[in-house]
Amino acid sequence: MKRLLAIGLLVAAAGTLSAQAPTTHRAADFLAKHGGQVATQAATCAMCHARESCYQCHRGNPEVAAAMPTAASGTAMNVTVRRRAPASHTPEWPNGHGPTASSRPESCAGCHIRQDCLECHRPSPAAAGGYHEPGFLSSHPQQAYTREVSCANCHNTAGFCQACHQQAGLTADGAVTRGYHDKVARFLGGHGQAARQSLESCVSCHVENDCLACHRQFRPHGPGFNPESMQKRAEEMCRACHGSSIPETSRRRP
Amino acid sequence: MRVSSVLPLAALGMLASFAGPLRAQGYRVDLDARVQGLSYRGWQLDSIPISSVVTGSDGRLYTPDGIGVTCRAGDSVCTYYAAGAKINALPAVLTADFAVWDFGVRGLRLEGNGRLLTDFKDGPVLNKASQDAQPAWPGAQPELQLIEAYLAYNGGWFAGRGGRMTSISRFGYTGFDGAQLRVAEPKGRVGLTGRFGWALARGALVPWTDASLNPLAEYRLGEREKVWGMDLDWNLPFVRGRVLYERQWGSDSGVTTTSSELIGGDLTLRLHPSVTLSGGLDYDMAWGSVGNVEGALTAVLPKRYGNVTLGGRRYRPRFPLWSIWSAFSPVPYNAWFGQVGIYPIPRVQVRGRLESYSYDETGASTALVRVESDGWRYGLGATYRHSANLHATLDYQAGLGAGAQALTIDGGVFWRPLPRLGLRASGAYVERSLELRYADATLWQLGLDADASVYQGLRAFGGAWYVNEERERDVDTAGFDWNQFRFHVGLRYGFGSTVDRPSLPPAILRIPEGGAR
Repeated sequence: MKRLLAIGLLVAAAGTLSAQAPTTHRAADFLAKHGGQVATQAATCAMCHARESCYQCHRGNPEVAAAMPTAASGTAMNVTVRRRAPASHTPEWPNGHGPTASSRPESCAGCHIRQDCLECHRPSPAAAGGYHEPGFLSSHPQQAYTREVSCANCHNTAGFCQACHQQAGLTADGAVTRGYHDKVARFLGGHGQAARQSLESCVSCHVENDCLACHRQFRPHGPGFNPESMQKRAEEMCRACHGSSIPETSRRRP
Repeated sequence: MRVSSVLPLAALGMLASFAGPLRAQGYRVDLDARVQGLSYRGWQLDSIPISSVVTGSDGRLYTPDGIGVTCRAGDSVCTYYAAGAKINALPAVLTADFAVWDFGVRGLRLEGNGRLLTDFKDGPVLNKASQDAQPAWPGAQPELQLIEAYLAYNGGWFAGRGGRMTSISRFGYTGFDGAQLRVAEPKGRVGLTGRFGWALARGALVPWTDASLNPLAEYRLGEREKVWGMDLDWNLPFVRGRVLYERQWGSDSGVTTTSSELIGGDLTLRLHPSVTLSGGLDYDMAWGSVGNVEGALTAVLPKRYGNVTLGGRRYRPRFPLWSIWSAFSPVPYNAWFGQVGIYPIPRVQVRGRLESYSYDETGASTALVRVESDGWRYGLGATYRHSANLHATLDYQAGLGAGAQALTIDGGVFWRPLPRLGLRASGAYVERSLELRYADATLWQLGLDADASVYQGLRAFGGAWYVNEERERDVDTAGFDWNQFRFHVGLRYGFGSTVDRPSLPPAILRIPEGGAR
């Protein structure tokens, strides 16, 4: 009986050991490099994995597993793959993935389908939570004003911001002296700095005519304004204030 | 509630329920139906005869019931903002995402994604441009939204697409109706892509000419914009990147206006198996200057002990050139940050982040008004992962400086009592004040969410939250509350021709190991 028990324990231990992933799979860059290894050493991978193992991640591009045998063929064990994010996917990854995703979107497509991107970048009005933390509806004015988040990457400032602010009574409707910005005395007289720092927040409530009522007379152009370049591409914008004759002085950089 | 919106929603849902599998060599379909109920509250502009205004003990002017007023010299009335009515919203969305490939011609693929939306509650105001009632919750117009639908052919060294598609790049998610062609060297390491079409508005699924994007009746081009762009990408062993160009333009009354013209690039360098440098930059040709820039150096610590990132970013708002906003010279925002996430003991991750930011000189500061131009924000958090079925998170974040202060504490516990059922109890506390208006918010909320795998490929989810929010004003009596219950429910069903269906939904699978929020 003891001998049988010992043999059973040995078999169980062997089974456990055999289920361990090779040490190569623990390398920091294994996820990034494994595609090339499959391309050149598919037979080695197929000792443990079947095509279905690959599908655990590669649901959007199943063709990458074409060189692997299917589980039904019976030649592979079809070891289950535990899907895990690569090391680059830190908690702050959602806020900083832009350059990496843009430099090679095909690398994202290894695991993600388009719908994964659209869940945030084309948000559903009926989705509760997700990218934004709980309580974001309350904290969003401060976060948007300080550019903690880049709202325009996902939301249209007119159809989303203005539409909701209009419902909530946060539109100027042509008048800018009704006292909404009451925490700063004489705000209208010194609003220029706040406007240039966070113009996207201003235009979520104010329309062009709110500002043009005064700024047709008071020049709004500031640092970095390049009149020649803008006039070359969008002369109609210049005419909104300057009319049919754009003054020669505005063609020079301020 | 609009019956005209409900009927197509119900019809599409029933059709999806009874439809049989498509005959194709490969296909994948995801259907997602969800609804949420919530409310919000804003302000109501009102006025009072100047003869009725009273002077408070602090010398300021108030309504008789204590709300601060603004009086202009020469006017017979003073204006003030009182608490607005509570607006209830009930948006519902049905999303269909599909891909069909290799039907008849190898390399041919049809992909699409669209939504049917409605808000069962109407908002209180009309869209000025269309004179239509608006949904109570933003983003629910138009009621039928086609996100993508294109036919693609992959011929090895070249690949073409035609239809509605999205170009994903550092310039954003540019949607357009048109065509795209990519040619690449045989191993696909270097490729050149060109595209042309009629553009959708930034961050939207309709062109700028659509009335739903013009709720305040601002200036717009009369005709839809066109877009063309091209990019060169490469993927070499240690470096991958892309250089791209994009121009959008439109015409109105025979005059052509360029909306935007950008050139930029992104680069990712693998300096070491554990160290990556990534970044990007774009140049706004209309401005004649650099636009957005980002860069980050990320190192994975030995033995998976954690990771460290140092980086910076520069952001400058970009507006279409047919609007006047670019002429108002918005200045860039610059930030430097560092973040670390480590596992000091097994099962516990501790993370921290520190960011310093400042705006460029605006050239418009005055002695009359003091506006902050820089600030700090930081965060600390921890995750205890007892097992894949039980873990808890707690995060603290704070911000100081421009835009005033904010403080957020939130946390939650996830528990999977059954293999097919996940439960999450969450809570949050938020304090924030604004820089330009007395409207300090204090909020706490508690909620419970559930997610169940009902059947193979079919997932049901939902949750309910109680939200207690006070909008406080130290100076008068115009404060109000936003207290409410919120709920959301939904179904998600995915099916396909192959076994490429992970047992968990993508949103869950995207959560990084270690339990980020």
